[in-house]
Amino acid sequence: MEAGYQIPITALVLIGIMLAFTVITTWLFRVQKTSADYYLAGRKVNSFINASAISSDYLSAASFLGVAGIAFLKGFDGIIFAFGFFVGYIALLLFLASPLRKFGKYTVPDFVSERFHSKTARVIGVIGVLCISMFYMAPQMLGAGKVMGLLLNIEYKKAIVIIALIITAYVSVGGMKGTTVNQLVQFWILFGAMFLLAFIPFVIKGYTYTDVISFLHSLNQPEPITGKMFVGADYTSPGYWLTNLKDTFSLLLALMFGTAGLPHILVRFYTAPDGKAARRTVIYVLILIGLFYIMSPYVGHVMRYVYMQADKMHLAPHLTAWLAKNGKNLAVPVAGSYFGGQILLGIVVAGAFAAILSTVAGLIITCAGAIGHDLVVNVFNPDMPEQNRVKIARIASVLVGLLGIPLGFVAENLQIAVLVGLAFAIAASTFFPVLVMGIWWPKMTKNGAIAGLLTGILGSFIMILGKSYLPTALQFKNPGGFVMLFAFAAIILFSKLEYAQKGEAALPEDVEEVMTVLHGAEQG
Amino acid sequence: MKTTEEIRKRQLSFALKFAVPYIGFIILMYLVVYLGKDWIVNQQIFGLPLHYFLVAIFIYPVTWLIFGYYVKRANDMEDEIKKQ
Repeated sequence: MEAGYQIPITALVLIGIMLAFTVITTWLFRVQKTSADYYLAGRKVNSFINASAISSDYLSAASFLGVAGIAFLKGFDGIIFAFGFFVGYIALLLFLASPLRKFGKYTVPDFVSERFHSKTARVIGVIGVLCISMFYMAPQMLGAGKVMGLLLNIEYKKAIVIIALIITAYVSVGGMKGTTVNQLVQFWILFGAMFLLAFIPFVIKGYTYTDVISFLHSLNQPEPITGKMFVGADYTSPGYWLTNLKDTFSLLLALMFGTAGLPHILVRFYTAPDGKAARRTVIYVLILIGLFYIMSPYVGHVMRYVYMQADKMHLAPHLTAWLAKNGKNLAVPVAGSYFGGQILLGIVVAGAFAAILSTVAGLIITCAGAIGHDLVVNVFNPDMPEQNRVKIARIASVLVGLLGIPLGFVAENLQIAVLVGLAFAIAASTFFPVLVMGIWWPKMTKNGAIAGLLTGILGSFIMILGKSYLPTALQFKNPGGFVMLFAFAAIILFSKLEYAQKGEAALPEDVEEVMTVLHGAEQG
Repeated sequence: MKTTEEIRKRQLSFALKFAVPYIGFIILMYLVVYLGKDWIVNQQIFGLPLHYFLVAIFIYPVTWLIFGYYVKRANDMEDEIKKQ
């Protein structure tokens, strides 16, 4: 354990309460009669609860710790992360949320398969879901091992095993209902923690955004411990980290459209009672995560303000060392310790723990849907009885949950930025174009859908893993937005070619019916 | 009674009426911030540098208002379609 650091008792108490609550809710929701109950909480989740659960799904450890952390490290440019994550919901609200819910299936591959009557499209969709979810889960497990290990003084591998077992147990037993209720509680813990971190410096200490930025802007001095020169005017100006416009836009587009293509977020819209509720849910999500993203960069800047005056502001030596060594991940816990001692640090640790649990739970249930519902049931055994489908769902959840353990172990040696980049790039370029075109363009054909999915997946891999072999003009910070344009082009081109070849026979027979379901009035 | 095709087109044009100006505004805002950074860092609003005000604060409530209105109108349209 680091000198000067003590595990906060409040963290243990809050995590204990959270786990006790998890046990109770999981027990209460252990009976799942149908697979719709298991995967979609019976499609009866109220908009506000759903919004809290979606926000909790979305605000992973990377957001909880990382947005403030990147603002601490990179100043103004760090804010683009917060903003990009937020704007992603607009595309989702305008083009996907309500029609997707009206379509009324279970998973994202379900949509492509049922809309185009293609098992191939379903299987490619499943590959897309698994790639995105696994690449997304790896950094969560890494965060679980590193940060929770450090804050709760648990060895890396042990922390991963404990967290994976807890999540696997409650997701596999409680299904989407149990997961939703737990995510609701987890969201308010992590949101409450960030609120306190912003409220105390802003209201009680009086560090206004204006004062903090104006102080940092005028600063020109070496950083504590590292001695690295800090130039405040650069830190508070655009272009300190994102040095060219191409990188800025590529990152913004990937975050915007990647969010709208994340399967663990999309699947939650199937849990709303109807299309109107799905739209309302997005507005609540925008308010909740918007508030969160206003606060987090402020907290990051405040911590830079404190760090640059570490001696004057009596920042404990071990906290100064944490910021110097790993400010990107530890700016938030340091803020907790500095502004609220052991009590607030405990709340922050519980918040980080909640963020990890909720996101990984969402990913597990989404992957379980892709494997259990899409592959095992729909591809291999469509006549399986309902009760067996629930069993398959539970088994798939256990397998995916336990897969988090080796994933966490290898994540230590993987390039996490590459994995997250891949997750967002595939989401932006695979599901977003196929869903948007599938919903709004009746003339889209099966070949168009398959071409769009393949372009998104393969294009993302090529542009990220083969980045160094590409000409400079094609090297992007995140190529998601760029590949997405190719996916749209592939959908249009292959659909038109198929239509030219086969005429009306190229379109699914029930296309009119499907369009009525997606856009017409809901029954009931 | 309107055909599905007409309803779909009406919904799409309604969504695009919000999407195009909003995304246009976001792109414009970023172009101004990153291309005109020498100018923007010296502008202030309510004591905050303009670029911070726009990207870190202002855009959030504006988005809530615009899309809160969108949801209300879109759901009203949904009721209207149901009645027809």
